[in-house]
Amino acid sequence: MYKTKWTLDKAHDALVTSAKISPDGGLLATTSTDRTIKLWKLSETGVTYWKTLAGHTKGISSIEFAPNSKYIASASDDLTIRIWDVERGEFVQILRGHTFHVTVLKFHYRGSILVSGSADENIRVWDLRRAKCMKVLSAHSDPISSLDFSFDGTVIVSGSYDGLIRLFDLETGQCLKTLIYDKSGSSYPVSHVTFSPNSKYILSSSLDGFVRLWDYMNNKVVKTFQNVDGGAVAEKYSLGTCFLTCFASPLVCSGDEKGKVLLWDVQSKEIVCQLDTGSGSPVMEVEPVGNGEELLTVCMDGQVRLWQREGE
Amino acid sequence: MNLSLLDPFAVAKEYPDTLAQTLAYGHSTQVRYSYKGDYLASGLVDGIILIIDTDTNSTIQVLRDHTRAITSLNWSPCGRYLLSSSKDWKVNLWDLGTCTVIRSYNFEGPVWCSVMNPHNRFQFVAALVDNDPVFADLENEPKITKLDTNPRDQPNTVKQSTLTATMTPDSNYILTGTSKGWLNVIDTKSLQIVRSLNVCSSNIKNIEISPNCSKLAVNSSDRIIRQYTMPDTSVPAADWEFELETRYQDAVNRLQWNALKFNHNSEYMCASTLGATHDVYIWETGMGSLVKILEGSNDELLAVDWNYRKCSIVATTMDTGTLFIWSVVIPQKWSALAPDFEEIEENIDYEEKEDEFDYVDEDDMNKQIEEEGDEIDVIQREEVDARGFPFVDSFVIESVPVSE
Repeated sequence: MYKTKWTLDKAHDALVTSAKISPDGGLLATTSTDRTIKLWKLSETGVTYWKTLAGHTKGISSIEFAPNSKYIASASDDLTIRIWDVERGEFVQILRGHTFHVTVLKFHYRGSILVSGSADENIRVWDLRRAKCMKVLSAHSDPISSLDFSFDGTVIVSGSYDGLIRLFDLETGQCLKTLIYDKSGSSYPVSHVTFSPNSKYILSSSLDGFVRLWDYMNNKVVKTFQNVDGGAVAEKYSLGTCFLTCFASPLVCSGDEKGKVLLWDVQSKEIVCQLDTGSGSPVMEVEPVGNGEELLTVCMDGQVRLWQREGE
Repeated sequence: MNLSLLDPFAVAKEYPDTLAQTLAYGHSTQVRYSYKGDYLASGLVDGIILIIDTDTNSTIQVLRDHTRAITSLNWSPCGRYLLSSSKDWKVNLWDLGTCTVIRSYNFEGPVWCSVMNPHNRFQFVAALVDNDPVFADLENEPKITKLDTNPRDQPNTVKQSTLTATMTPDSNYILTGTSKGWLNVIDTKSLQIVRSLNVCSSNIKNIEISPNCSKLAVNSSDRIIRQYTMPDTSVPAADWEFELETRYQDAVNRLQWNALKFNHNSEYMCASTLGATHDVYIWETGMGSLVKILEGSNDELLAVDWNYRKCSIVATTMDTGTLFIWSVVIPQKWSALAPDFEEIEENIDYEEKEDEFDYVDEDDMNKQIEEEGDEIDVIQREEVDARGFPFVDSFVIESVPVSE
């Protein structure tokens, strides 16, 4: 289904936490517990090292490109978020406010707002124009693991290790809805959340090893995805998930903790394809380029690979 | 997407009721929301135009070219272009992708107002101080056509001037108002007056056509807003019928109305007041009854605009130029904080159900997984939001993070 386009075997010497391709498709950014962000130039043939952004004093757990590809936001264990000017290679803002490790970031589609989640159990909404915190959403009781915006940018979904998925209204900061899965006895930490392309559903991963698709309007899980033979997808790490919509029937994608990438059919919940990164370490992130014509996978040991779609 | 999860009673409100925000970003003389309501353009007394993001309320772009007070602002429907007119005799067309002036024209005097053709951003109609109005096409070589002020079939004996102009949403007709109370209808193709209507005998200050093209309101300095049924623009203008529906006036305070605006479906109209009271009045247009007075300003109000999607109204003030924004307050639903919370009207005596805490030896999760057969559509978006507005993509104006 996918073949390798290029592979970076060791993006960083330390553990790699995140990698993103810029919205304009020209750049790859990787980040690591070594406190740096590396930028790589992409071309039709492959990937070449460009420069390193240094400044954080502790490991970085998440990076995001701004929608215009000119800026990168990074979240670090040094309690700050930095906004970097890609061209100049230096940071233009430091956002301070979180009182513990910053774990996750997301840009609003207009690029003027950034939301961040932290191990201090809060979500902060930042006005990037003024480098000011607009709102603090304190509704979780454990670290925030994941955030996402609905396609129209009005709703924020958050996943937390307290086992809750909450939806917030960006404008008022109010909690709009809370989802909890307690059918397996108790609730497990939520490790990743993402909106479906039409934002009517939420795909969540939790550390009981399942990936679930929620119909949040009706508080209902409508699909459950499992690893081969009903095994766990991830029980220890927060691994990314995504939707691939370039196929006739949309797919859900997630890595597992042994270096495999799983692709499920949304309707049948069957695994239609497994990609082996060969790294054997957890696949931290899976990122579609476009609507899935290409797929970026990031392994914790530093392997970054771009897959190219091949056939149906 | 947020609206469908908010309190439906608050979302269903048709007009704002609470002062939510005041923004003191310079002395504003004109305000206009983009069609999608995601940006607010504010024109200042010194000619600067600010683009304000309505989610963050911060200024994301500053447009500098005009040197005197901005008199009107118009967005293109796509959200990328802005037409501005000023007392510095100029009309500018801005490209907000680059935030530069891409077309400009210098008239022979100050400009009362200019209105962009919604179907062609290079065309506009402008009302000029002490001069006949013009229709301009700046796409290639500037083509400026003078329009008549003297009403059709009237002797050219009374000296009058055109004070305001507007365009129908289908852009087929231009409506102008004169200092002697005449409303002229001009065909955009022939640029001739095809119909004239004597509304009153004093200055016509504003002409406002509702976005759905069903109502027309004329504000004049005799302190009356006259609301007409908007004629069917598909028939020749000679056969148009202007049916006077309502006259809005405050007989007690004798208020001058300054600016007015219909809501999206023309069921409500708001107007800012000049005089002793510093309020925005909102009427229900069917019966013409006053439904709300928006208070809170300590200054006389000038320009108003209505953000339909966010259900808020902005007004500028005369002395300080501060922006006042009224909107709807949506209460927090406490039941949203946990899936089993329920909001109840009054206390209910709790009675434990017979099987409430029974241990059922059943694998809930496997049962739930077995019931997941339904077809799920994760791609197709809803077409409209809970207020009935379509989800549209609009131009995104670049916001540059300021350095510390």
